[in-house]
Amino acid sequence: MIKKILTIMLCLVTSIFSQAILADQPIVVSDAWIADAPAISKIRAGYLMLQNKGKHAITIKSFSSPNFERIELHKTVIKDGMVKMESIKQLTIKPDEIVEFKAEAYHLMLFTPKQKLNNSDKVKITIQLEGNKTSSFTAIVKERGHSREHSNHKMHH
Amino acid sequence: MTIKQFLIPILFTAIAALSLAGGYWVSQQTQQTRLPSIPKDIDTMVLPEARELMPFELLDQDNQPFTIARLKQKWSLIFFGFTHCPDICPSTLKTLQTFWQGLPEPIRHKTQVVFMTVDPKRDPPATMKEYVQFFEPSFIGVTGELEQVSAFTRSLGVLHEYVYQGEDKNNYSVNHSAQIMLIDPQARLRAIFTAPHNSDEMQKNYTKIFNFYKD
Repeated sequence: MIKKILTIMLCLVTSIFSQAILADQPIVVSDAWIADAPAISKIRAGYLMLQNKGKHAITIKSFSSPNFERIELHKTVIKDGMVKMESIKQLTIKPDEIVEFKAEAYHLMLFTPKQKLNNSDKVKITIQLEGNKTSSFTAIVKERGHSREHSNHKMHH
Repeated sequence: MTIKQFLIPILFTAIAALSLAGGYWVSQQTQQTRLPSIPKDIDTMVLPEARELMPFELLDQDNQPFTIARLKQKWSLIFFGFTHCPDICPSTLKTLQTFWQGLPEPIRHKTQVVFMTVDPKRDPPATMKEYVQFFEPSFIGVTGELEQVSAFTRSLGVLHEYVYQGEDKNNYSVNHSAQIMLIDPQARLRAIFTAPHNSDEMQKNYTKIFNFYKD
């Protein structure tokens, strides 16, 4: 009986605490997907929509995933016929601003998958925000050319 | 009327006649060497005169020689990239896949798509094979010695540069040209498709070019 009460109390505390954290994180992620690629590819691209639904600017410091060795944020720039990938160290999103990660623009570079990834596999990705806050979302592996399909849930905070 | 007054009009008439004759002669010479005009509704860069390629010695994905002879008798679309590229290269190859699948069979039969690496150090033949065939089994992956790859890209005006991340010499990206080069069946550079690439537009323009030059 005491164990049950303690378990319930722990759950309540955790829930309240989580809500407190989440309430401070207005970032909303949608349409997150990872492009399928040849098995020999050691680097994948990830795409998503990021929206800041809060009242203050938020700064994204990094991304990580248990499925990849590391993740970097890059932006493809085509200038004078030359393609370059610019490494983005941090990304600040203003209130109400939506940033689209898509082909030939902002994208995640996911290095060295730790296991084989097939279409429809789900990958958890965590965003490290300024102020030691985090936010997680799920990206689905799928074929290129279908980026407008809704493939994952929105995270409301 | 004096002789001078008589001669001056004759002189001017003679000069005018000679000018007309000379102009006619020049126009006849130009007529013989005038190039067929490129249709105006081709919305891509078509060279007024096809450019000969310099000889090269590269390797295909089966480790077989890939030389200028492989670019003859078929139209070739050549895209330059590398397998460590996560975004623009697979995105463009996907576009080329859609483009290829949408071509009418008689045109496709006389066309080949080539993906040439600008990172031969990390892209040996076996890697290129697995990579290109993920997109389309008939695509050709080409690699080779860095010197040969660089010489070939230079001859086409294709740029590439290595961007190292920190001290690790194995950790680098490659900036590169995003154009797709169109080589005619005489192995000459005929047209250039510039980025961003759209498979429908490429199909439309390539079909027009193919039909225009097929005879």
